Amino acid sequence: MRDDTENVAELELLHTQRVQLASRLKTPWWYVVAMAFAWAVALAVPIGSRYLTGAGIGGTLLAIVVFCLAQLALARVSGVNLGTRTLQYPSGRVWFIAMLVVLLAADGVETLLLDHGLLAAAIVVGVLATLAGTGCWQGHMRGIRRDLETGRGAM
Amino acid sequence: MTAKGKPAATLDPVIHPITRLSICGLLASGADWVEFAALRDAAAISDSVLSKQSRLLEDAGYVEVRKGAVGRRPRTWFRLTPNGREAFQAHVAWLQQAARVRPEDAADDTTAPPPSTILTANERG
Repeated sequence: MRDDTENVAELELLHTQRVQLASRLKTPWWYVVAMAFAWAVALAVPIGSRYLTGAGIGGTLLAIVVFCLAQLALARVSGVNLGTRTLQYPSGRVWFIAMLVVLLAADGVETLLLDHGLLAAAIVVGVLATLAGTGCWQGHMRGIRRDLETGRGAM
Repeated sequence: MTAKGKPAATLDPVIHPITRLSICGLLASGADWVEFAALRDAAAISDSVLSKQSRLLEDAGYVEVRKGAVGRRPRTWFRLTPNGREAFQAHVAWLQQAARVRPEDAADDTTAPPPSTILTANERG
């Protein structure tokens, strides 16, 4: 006779182990700081490129490099590599879209304000968008952790 | 595979032992690669058990292993292959199906494994 309680226990054990694995992806302070820096650099591009030649491409490249290094460091520290296809995690997808909206909206508003000579207002928008973007990224990571716990990120 | 594209519920003897089920379950959670220590800690098994069981899964073509180093420290990363993922999903479907079967019904089920093959002390690590 098959003992069905053992099968249930195995499935429960699997869930507990996944929760433990997902908990390794809790973002350390340095990762949050690195992401905030990458966001700040990316959102400073519209302002920088207005006053400095090459600030546009340089700033974009710097933001990408910081982002990639932070991801690599998190994978090494946590032992869990999420790969480049983070859009595969359904719970994190909404946050990813929110990040794109923040990035594009902030870029547009900053450009508009700079066209009207409102540098201080553009900087304030950049700072607020940096906070919003970093918050969205944290939400994205929370979603990924939730998907790892439930296995929804598979496929 | 079934007509709906979902894997058929089948018992996979390679994945069935609890340690290998844990390893596959953790690798199938959605992470791209999982490092040796992370897998060992999450599955609560020893280094030697993980090495042995992961080699069996690798030989079966269910797990891909990548070895590297950070400085002088060797690092081993694991990933589930598409074959392994399919086999794991089919096995979990079997487990879920079996868990829904009442014990008195299961008595007539000749395809069911004996209880001793589900969990054994040394396979728990």
